[in-house]
Amino acid sequence: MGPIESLDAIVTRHVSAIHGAACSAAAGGDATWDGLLRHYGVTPFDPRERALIVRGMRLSRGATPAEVRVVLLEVQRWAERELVRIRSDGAPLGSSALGLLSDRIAFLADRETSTYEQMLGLPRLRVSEPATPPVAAAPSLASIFANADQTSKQAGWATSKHAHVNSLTCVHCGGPQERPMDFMCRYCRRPIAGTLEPTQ
Amino acid sequence: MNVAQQQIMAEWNQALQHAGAKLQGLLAQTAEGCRVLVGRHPMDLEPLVRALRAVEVQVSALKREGADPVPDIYDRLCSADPNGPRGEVEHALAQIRHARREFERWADEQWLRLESTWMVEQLHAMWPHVQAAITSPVTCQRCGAPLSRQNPRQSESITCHACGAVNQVTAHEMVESYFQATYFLDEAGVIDKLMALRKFKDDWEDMRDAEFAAGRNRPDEPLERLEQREQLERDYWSAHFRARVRNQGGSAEDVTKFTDERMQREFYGEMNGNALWCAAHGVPPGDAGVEAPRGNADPGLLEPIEGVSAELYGKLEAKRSSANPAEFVQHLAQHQMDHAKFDRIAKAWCDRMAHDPSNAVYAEYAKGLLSQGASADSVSFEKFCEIQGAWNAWGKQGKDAGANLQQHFALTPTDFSNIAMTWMQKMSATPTMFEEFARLSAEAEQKYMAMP
Repeated sequence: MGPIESLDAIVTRHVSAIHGAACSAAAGGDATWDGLLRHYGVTPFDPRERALIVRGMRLSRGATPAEVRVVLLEVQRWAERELVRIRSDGAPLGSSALGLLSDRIAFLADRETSTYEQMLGLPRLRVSEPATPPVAAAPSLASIFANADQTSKQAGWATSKHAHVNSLTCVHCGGPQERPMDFMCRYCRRPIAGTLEPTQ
Repeated sequence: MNVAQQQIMAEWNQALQHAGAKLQGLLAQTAEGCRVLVGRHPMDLEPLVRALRAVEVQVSALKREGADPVPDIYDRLCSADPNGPRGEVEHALAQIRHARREFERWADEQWLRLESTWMVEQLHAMWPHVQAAITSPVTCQRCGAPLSRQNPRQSESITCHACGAVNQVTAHEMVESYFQATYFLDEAGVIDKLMALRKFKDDWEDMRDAEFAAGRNRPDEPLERLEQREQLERDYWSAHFRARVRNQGGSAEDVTKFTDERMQREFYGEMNGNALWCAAHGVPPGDAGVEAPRGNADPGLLEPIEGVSAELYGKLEAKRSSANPAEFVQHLAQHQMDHAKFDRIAKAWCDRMAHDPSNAVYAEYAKGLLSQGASADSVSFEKFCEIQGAWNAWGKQGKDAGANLQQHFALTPTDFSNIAMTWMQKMSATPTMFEEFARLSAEAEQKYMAMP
């Protein structure tokens, strides 16, 4: 499992846990829900505000969607940082999930709050997506394939026909390594590569 | 519904059809482009992978367009008949949600199948060349005598029978890249199971919406159905890991272990919050059992592997990206390891990173990586944002981001990784920097997208 799949799975777990705890809570929240809020470092709303929301939204059960959204925002912020790290590290070969995961995380709090509202049976389905910075026009497919075509010439090994073979020669006396995993020169009894570093 | 509402619905359906047609057109053109690429580069997987990644960005955008082709549909339906019966609007909304789920499922399936088809085509085209590379003779670097390989897919240290010198033979890069991608050979069957699972979940959501539209509460999923879903999820993950193990190595125990782990994270994690499931299985209700994102690592995860810590592994990876193969072998010898051992520990550390939600293993690895190569201090925040924007643009254009990074900024991917990690740490301490980062990198992306 690569870092993208791993992040996706972690986000799913958190969302499931938040939805589950929020749905199971009494209307406006209870001690278990407060425990979850503390777990994510979120300060519970004032009880009067909770009561107001419960009345206003006619909640018969479950934590307030506003509090659920605040918790989800915490997860979203964390996941966004993780995503940037994964991107900067380069996406793994054959990944088909990076774009999907980016979309999911970008609107996680809004979409999952909306899902939660649906779980409670609230009628509104509103997903308000925040304004995003200007996005450049997508390149044409022809230019994508032309660019990809050119990259082949940049792979140094594309013309190589053989595996790499390297043998160690003692930097002190020029003697060859004669036993695998023996890095002391058999001839001069000094480290064959010049030094020996501790591995831990 | 009144005429105005019917018109809004017709408009919505038309927009959805339009998005679907656009996606089909894009996929047809992509298939043609892939056919040409595979024909032109039968030995090289990279051009196809780059092109597919770039097209995937556009597919995602079209999917978003199709998922919500007419914004604020609910408000528009209500406004069209403010005093009309609510049930009809809810019924229309249930239809919209059903169509949206169906569209997203269809779009995902189309994309996954196209990607799988062309990766398999590429692998088939590569296979004769891979066979030739595997069977091509390898000779002793010292005396030229032939060497006998045991496993041409892996790095090996082979002692020459003629002169006694040890030769470290690494797999040909084409062979490595071929076997890294071989899970695509079994992907079609896995996609079938994934889509069956998705449909099963969507069908239930459709049913709940229909109940709500009929004026009843959305029902909770019955236990019998949850157990069916459990079986479908298990089937899917088993097929997924069987394909991986069959093509990339591993045992039947690995399949069971990985499947159980995934089920724990995905299905049972969700079920821990399901009161009905908890009651039926004797699990304390509300016990989500999920670690916080900032949770502590299992200390065992940081135990050295064959004497190599995560930090040292990070240093070695940094060295590998900047040294030529002979220099790297020399460097490994200073750490008392050959290439075969390095490959083993690299795989083991990557596995640990993938199974560590606390990211503590990655943090240790990053410490090693950061200690090598370019320092973030040499690159300003504005420059970092520019590089990130350029990197995104090259990815979307199907260009070789690594080669362009060298050409435009005289940096290696490892250098950039170091710089990014350092700035990300600083940004985490000052969250407002994220907005600036998003703005500056988007501007840079536009600038580099405009370049030929």
